[in-house]
Order: sequence, then C-alpha cells, then structure tokens
Amino acid sequence: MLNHRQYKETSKTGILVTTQSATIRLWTVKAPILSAPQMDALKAAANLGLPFPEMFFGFNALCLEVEDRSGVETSSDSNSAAAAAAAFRFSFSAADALGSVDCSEEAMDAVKVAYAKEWTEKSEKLHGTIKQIPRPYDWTYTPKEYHGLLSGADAAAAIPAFKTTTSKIDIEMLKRSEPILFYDEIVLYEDELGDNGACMLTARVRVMKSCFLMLLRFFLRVDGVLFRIHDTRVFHAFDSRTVIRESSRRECSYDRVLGKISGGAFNVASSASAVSTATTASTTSTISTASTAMPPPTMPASNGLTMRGARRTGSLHTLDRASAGATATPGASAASASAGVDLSVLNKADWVAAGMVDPLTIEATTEGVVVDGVHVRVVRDEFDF
Amino acid sequence: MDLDSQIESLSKCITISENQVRDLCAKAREILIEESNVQRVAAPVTICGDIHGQFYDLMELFKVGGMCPETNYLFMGDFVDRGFYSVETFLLLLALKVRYPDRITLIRGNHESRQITQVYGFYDECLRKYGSVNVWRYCCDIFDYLSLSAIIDDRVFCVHGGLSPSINTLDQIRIIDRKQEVPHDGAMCDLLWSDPEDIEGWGLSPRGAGYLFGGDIVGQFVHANKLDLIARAHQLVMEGYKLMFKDTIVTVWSAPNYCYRCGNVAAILELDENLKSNYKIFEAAPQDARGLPAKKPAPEYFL
Repeated sequence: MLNHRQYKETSKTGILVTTQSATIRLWTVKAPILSAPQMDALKAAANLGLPFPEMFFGFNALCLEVEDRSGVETSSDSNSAAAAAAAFRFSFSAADALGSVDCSEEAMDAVKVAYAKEWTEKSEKLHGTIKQIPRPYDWTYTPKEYHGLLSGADAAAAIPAFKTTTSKIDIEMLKRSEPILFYDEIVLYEDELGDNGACMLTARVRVMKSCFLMLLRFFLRVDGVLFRIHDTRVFHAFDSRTVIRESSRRECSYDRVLGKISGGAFNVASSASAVSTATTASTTSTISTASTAMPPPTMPASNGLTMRGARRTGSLHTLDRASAGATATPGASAASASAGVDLSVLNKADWVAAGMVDPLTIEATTEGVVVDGVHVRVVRDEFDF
Repeated sequence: MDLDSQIESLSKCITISENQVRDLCAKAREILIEESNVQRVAAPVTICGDIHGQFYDLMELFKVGGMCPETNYLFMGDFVDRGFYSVETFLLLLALKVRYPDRITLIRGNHESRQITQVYGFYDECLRKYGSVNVWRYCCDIFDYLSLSAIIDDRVFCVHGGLSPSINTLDQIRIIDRKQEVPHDGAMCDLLWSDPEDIEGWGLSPRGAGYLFGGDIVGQFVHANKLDLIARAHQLVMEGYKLMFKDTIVTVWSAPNYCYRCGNVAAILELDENLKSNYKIFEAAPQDARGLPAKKPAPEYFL
C-alpha cells in the first residue's frame, strides 16, 4: 500500500508517503534571508569563521525523514505511527553547507578574480603598505565535501551510515513521465562575488509515485575564470529499502563554456522535449535524454554582435545572438524569453551543466578525470534502512 | 510627446520610444556635464541606495518618501541590473532629473557600467524591449556623465561604494576625470567598489581585487573633511540600513525583497534642514501589483 499526502505549515511544505514498511516525509523550509541578529546568533552557535554570503537563507533546508515501520503494525493513522517509532533524517541545510566552506589561506587563494594579478601589481606599486586580508576563507563559498547530513530525528533513532557502492541512480525510472506529486526548489545561499560572477547553492526535490530525487547543486561562475558545478543527488525507489547518493564535481574554464555557446554545442537535443508541467497533474511529455539537466537553449546563427564575457577582463568574446523569435528558452523564466539569446544563460546553472559531461554516465572516480575539457569527479554511496 | 507625458508614461512602467530615449539622454547630458564629481546638495534631502530595476518597489519608495519634486532626492547608484524593469527605472529617474534638475541627484554606482550591465541584465533587457541595443548605448553614454559623489550641506558625504586609499580629501575627488567607463583600478574604481569592514586600517579583498576599510580610516576621512556622516549603498542589508563605526558611516539599501526572493526590507534616509536623520523602512510592492510569475515554482523533471 502506498499513500501520499501533501502538507503545508508556516514555512514548511512537504509530502508524506506511506509505503509498506516505512513512513517517508520530504519537505522544504523556505524563509527570508537572515537578519543581523540571526546571523550573529548563528555565527556564535556554529563558530563560523567567514563572512556570510550576501544572500543567506539560513533557515532553508530540504529534508527527508524515514521512519521504519517494518515490524510495526500498519496503522491507518500515520500521525500516531509517527509519534510511536524512531526515525532518522537526511537533510541539505544552508547552515551546514556554509559551515563546510574552507577557511584556509590555500582555499582563499585557489581562485582569484580575472584581473587580480594586474590589480594587485598596481596596488602594490601605489599602496604597498596595504597587505592585510582580514579573514582568509574560500570566497567562492564552495561547500567542502558537503553532501547532506544524516541525523536522528529523535534520540532513540538508529542512524544508518552511507557506504560506497557500485550501484547507480536508476535514470530510466526518473525518465518516466510519471506525474510529479510534490516538487519544490529552494535557494540556500547566493553571493554575487562583488559582481565578479555568482555562486548559488540550491536544492530541488521531485516525488513521484514510484520514487523521489533530491538534488543539491552548487553553481559557481567567476567571470573570465571558471565555472564549477557540484551536485549531490539522492534517489530512492519506494519499493526498495536503499537510498543511493551520487556526489559529483565538475569544473571547467570560463572560455570553454563561452566557446560551447558560440560553437553551437548547446544545440543538443530538441529543446521541445523539456518537461515543465504547469501543475502536478499527469503529463504525457517525455524527458530529454541529452543531459542531466534542462535541455539547453537553441543558439541560432551569429549575427555578429559581440559582448564582453566578463567584467574587467577586457577580452571580447563573440556570442551568437538570436534573431527575434528564433530562440527556444525551455523552462526559462518569463523574464528572459522572446527576442535574442540572453546572456543570462551564464547565470543558469542547468544550461551550463548541460554543456558539460553528464556525471550520471561517468564511472565513480575519487581521483577525477578530464572529459572534453571538464574536470569531473564522481562518488557514489548508499545506505539501507 | 513632452517631458511631462514621458514621465507620466514611465511612472506607469511603460517605456518611451527609442528616439525619445535618445533625446532625453542628450538633454540629461547637458545637465550632468555641469555637475561636480562631488555634487553639492542642500538639505532637506532623502538619500536612497540601490534600486536594481525593481520598478514597482521604487514606486513604493516614492509612496513612503514623497514624490519628486515635492521631495528632494539623492540616489546613490545601481539603478539597473537584476530586476525586471531596469529600463523603466533608469529612464524615469533620468526624466525626473531633466525635468527637476535641482530636486533630484543621481550619482554613479558600479552597475552603471558597460561591462557590468552586459553580464547582469540591463543589456539583455534593452535588447528584449527595444529589439536593438541602441537604448543600452544611449544609457551607457549617460552613465559616464553621472557624478561620482555628493556632499550635503558640507557635512554628509554620499558615495556608492566607499573610500579609496588614493583619496584623503574631497578635493582629490573633484579633480578625477570621470567621463569614462568605470576603470579596473584607481580612485574612481574604489569609490564605486570598496566596502567597510571591521578591521584596522586598509585591507584587501580575499577575491584578489578591491579594498576594504576600517573604522579608523572612516574616522580620519570624516575628521579631515569635517564631516558628520558618510552615506553609501552597494551592500544588501536585511534591515534596510546599517550604521557602523560609531555611526560615522551608514549603508542604505533601497531594494526590498531583493531579486524578488530575499525577503529583506528597504530603507531611505531622510535628512531634515538641520541634517537630523530619520530612517524610513518600506517593503516590496505586493506581488499582484507587478505581474510577476507566481511564487510557486512549476514542477520540473530535473535529473
């Protein structure tokens, strides 16, 4: 028997799924960015050694809670069952992710803005005495080895442990056009890197009748320097007792992504296959198999317009600009449709990700490999309950 | 179409024609070219921070602060990018400037730049709304004429970003040749980019470019130039404004619910004829007032 019920509390939205052996809850917490007192409190509590990202949604989280009821008499009232048994939780949270950011000098120096060398040389010449950097930290806010946290929902809970696996996420199951029963996306934090690019940590979830998928994505763009995408996917089929997690990192140069755009490599697959349903009702669309993300926009022939790829880099990149109406922008926000390929494509993690190698097709490798100019690393683990 | 009807149209978030933009910019240029790098402003005045194309929230600001010309305004830059209505926002402010040059002061933010607007939205918005980049070009040419800072009754210094290690006195700002794209370094760049930080002296950004300045630096600048306060914008503040260093510097942020998702409030700083300050807080325009997509995200078969 499999039941599901959506619920909504003040800042929480979620779904409750009752399978034969477990009660499973998935929910998101959505709240505004933290106020100054809230930031101070968290800073003290979590002993954070770095400045907060400009937009820090400190309460936001995507959570999974599993309550094992095998051995417990199936109750028709799921609430009383929830109160009775021990449960464990897996969560992606803004505070945990920020706490993982590396505060070493090495991490701070690993990436610099495009014009850093030139700027520093001039600064040394003009103001050589200015040397202090107040606090070293990874200013790109890249979470370090953060792939979500398992914890007990109450003291009595036995917390399962992840172990390395050769299993993969069942991609075929996820490609089915099963109706989405619950969907949400949240931003955990975001920073504009002093207008030198952008970083954004987001979490998404979709729950279908047979399975669910959670995705934590860190997206980084340093203008003129690089793109970085760190994904953690968590998958579970409700007829199993296994939760599979796939953590991947991809990184490539800024110029490569621009090259992909202008070279038309983003022209993969028919964009029409993007699935974006207006409601949670059933859909007959199929899902693009071309990439791990939203199918990218179609880039029509160049009309010779140019843009500057990055602030202060001075390098000019030729980009294909669309003639009006010739561009498909599947799933794009209404604000950026119609005339012309908008360069905010560089802000769209899904589109940039689609231009990179698909981690779902890569064999697990902690060392990492370079595929088509993209440095990629994939780790897979799982736990049973 | 005369200036008043253009203002009326822009106030309803309706764009004016490309030729009207060209003529408006030409008129604005004549006014701005006469302004000093440290534009003198007389109190009472209402100081505003970043707007970032959030047109309907700018309307909320006017509701709270009063309309121009009844209220004397000073906007500290970052009119464009991020929000959906950078075109209407900037053109309305510019039209008000041309219509009431002594009742509104616009100074330059780091987003009033050719390079930045190509990455963060204004360029694309112009292209989308006009089908060509001419309007973007006209606006960028005007950006180069915007003043770099303002001084209110010789006591309150207003600038978008902050201080510069190359600048000790206001006179040093007055001699900058500002009619250019925001450079990558130097005093003009620093004024539009630097940030205050809880440190002693000057610091360097961990990003590899840009200065940070501490309370003692602010103290010295305030003392040397006989100031009461430095007002600046540039950084998002959840509470709308943030005083630092024994109230010698304040960050004013005027884009509520920034990027339509942060949930922050915004502020404006009213200075009366005696330079007594009063912060007014306001919230974002109601969702239904501005035709935004529904809050609830459409389900996606992401993989």
